[in-house]
Amino acid sequence: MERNALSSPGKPQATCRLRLTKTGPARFMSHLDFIRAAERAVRRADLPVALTEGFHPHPRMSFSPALPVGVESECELIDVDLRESPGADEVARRLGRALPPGMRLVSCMVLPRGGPSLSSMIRAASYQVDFGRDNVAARPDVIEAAIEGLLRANAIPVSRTTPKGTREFDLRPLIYDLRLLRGDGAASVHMLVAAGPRGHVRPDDVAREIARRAGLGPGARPARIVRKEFYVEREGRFRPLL
Amino acid sequence: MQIDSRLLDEILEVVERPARYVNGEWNAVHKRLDEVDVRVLLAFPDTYEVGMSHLGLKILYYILNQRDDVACERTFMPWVDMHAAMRDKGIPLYSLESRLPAREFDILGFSLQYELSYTNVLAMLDLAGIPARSEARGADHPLVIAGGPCAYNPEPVAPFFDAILLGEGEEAVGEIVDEYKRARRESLSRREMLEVLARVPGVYVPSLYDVEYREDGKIARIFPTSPAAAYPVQKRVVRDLGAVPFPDNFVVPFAEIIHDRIMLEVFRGCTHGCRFCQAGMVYRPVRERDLDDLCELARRLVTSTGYEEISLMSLSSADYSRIRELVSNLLQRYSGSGVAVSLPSLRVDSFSVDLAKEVEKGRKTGLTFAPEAGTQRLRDVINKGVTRNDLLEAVRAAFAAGWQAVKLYFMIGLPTETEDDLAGIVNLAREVLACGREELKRGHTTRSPQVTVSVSSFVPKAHTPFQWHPQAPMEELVAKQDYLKRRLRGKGLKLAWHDVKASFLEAVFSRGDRRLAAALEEAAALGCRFDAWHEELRFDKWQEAFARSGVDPKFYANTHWSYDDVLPWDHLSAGVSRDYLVAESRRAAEGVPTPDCRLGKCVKCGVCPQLKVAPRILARPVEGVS
Ligand code: SF4
Repeated sequence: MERNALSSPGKPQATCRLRLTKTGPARFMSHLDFIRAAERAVRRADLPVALTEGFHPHPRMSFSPALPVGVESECELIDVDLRESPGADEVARRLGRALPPGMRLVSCMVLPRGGPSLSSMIRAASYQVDFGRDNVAARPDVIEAAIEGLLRANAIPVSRTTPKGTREFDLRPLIYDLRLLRGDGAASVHMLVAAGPRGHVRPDDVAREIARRAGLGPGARPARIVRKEFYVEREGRFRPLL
Repeated sequence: MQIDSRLLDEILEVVERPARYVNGEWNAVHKRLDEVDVRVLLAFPDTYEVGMSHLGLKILYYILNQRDDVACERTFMPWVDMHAAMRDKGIPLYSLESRLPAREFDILGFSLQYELSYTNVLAMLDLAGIPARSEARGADHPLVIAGGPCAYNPEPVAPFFDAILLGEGEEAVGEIVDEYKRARRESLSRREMLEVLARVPGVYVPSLYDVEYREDGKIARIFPTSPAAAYPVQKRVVRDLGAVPFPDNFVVPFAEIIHDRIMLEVFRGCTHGCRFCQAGMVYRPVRERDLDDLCELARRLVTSTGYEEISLMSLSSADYSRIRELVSNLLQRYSGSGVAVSLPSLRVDSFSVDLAKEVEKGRKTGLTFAPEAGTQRLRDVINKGVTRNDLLEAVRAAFAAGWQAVKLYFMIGLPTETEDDLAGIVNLAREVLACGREELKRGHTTRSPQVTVSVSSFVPKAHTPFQWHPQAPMEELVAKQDYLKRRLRGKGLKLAWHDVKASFLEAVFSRGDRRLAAALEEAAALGCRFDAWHEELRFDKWQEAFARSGVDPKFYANTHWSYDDVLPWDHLSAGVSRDYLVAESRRAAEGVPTPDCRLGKCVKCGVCPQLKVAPRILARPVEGVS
């Protein structure tokens, strides 16, 4: 019987770096769901993916850090190892037809083999937090004051509950930039925070802290949070990874 | 009119696992609802994760959406938090695809897979703003219909449905839609429409039958009140599975569901003839799919879904007469491409273990076998054709092949069971464990074997040889569980058991009649739902519901019925003859086994002549089918 053309194990010849969105209904996927969805999309796209070794090979793909459920993203990065490179345009064409709603291909580039991995490069991520028009308490000046207070604080203790227990840590040194975006009246905040080896900041932790300081009440949540970009660090400065 | 999407999106930010309430999954079908004649909403009365794992729903969704004049969408029971939030915000039950309220559909079709989902049906109708009782609904309400295994005794829910389909739906759904269209075109009244539907073979319209009861509470007679109503209603059966559509694409959910893989149905029906098993009686005869068809379907499904696993589904997949070829075919094609093959149900023999060995390779998590009873005597009573040797050979092969954990399924409370049979469970479990120790030692591993014994309680089911038998009283079942708990402990042994209260309710409704509808309404009003979910079952509320509605649940669960009694489902036929069931019940009492007709000789259960079908076993003919 003819061997399935989908993919088969073999040495990777190229790595393809994809940038996807995770918006709309896709924002509700957990990180594990997102990984599975991407693997399935790659299989549907019939890309010549390289597989891992072992009894149960699966596509060799690596992902940028997890996003909390409900947070949207314009920057989900995935490196896919390919047995052969059909070229970035062809990868984009095939994948474009195989992605579910909310997971849109923004860009696709073929990298030379042997380059640094996503996890070894990523140092920071930026997010935009919209507090929404309906939230009358979230006036831009109130939010701005809250941000200033937050930046002045020596420490911002946050607790995170995981199945392993509750952990306390200081958010402050992991926040690199925080500012109000001037725009159309609704309060929006831009933040640049740590991602990677030095710590991984959950944008909703920061948003909640802003809301608390702005006096929006304990249950107040921003209307929308979007991951915008990943950053590498070069010569002491953060630069967009892509 | 769509529901308020903004309001819904707000709720989705706060509920658990919101991905199950959104539209747009891969392969979901979106049609313009104003461009079709009939809008069908398939409703599954359990969570999205459970409902989306159900093959029947996928098949009907696919078949209905193939028609240009039909749009078929889906809805599920919202989980407890979502249910509360929707009621709070006034969001009615809606379809995933178009976010259209359920009550704006033409046909609402419920899938009835297990009795403990009945309160969810009522909760969903309530959330939809549709009256629960068929008699209270009018021309501006959807036609509320149902299908699934519970249709073989739907009497406790009969007053809630306008029509119920008995048997397989592939061909019948289309006929139902056609008759619905005709009835509407001819502007028939609701009653007239129901009479039209009752003439579709397999369709049971409960309101066209009456039931009379005797002084002692038993049924005096069940009779049709309209010339359109058949007596009995015969189940539908698909003669050739290759001739009806099987989906070549599945909806791929955003978030993980229970069976998140390709489900390839290799055959339908099972004729092992276990006497407690309803599936083994009502899905007869066995019909195998062609090998080439299966390989082609697998190919198309892998391409269209991107799934990484193909599960070979059936009541007992290793029975497929060309299973070896199928498995090696699929493995050859896919093993190098990251797509796995799995067999969800194993027979108790070394052949099955060999197959499992072939497909599972490195991922040896655990194997499950179902000897069902602890002694040969009781296994003969229930016609489970498995011996102690079969079991030991199978587990020996499993441990030798590197499996370390084995799960054994048993049933307690079976007819004629004594303490010897319970002791037999303990002995078998210990023997299996000892066998595991031996084999693992021989294999020079330091790992130790793990044997999990899982016991469920016998539930008498309609259309089985044990339908006349009572369930053991709850106290007795608890005592039996305790007996096992005391003895099945120690290193390497684990015991898992089912809540007897859930099994009791299951027995009440599986042998129930129409008088139970009132109890269901009371229970739903008291807040019962998700009864199949251990942590959600509120048994005290159920007791109150039975008391309020004046029905004695023990009458249904714990009474012995005689062959002369009129049974609540006597007007419904699964094709297996009553004479055969009586004969089987007698053979059970004598401990005489009955062979499987798939081995070559008809044992006259009645299905084939009654429904003008024949078993279809690829490798051999079955003789003596008259
Ligand atoms: S009628 Fe005979 S061949 Fe057909 S299912 Fe029954 S026993 Fe098997």
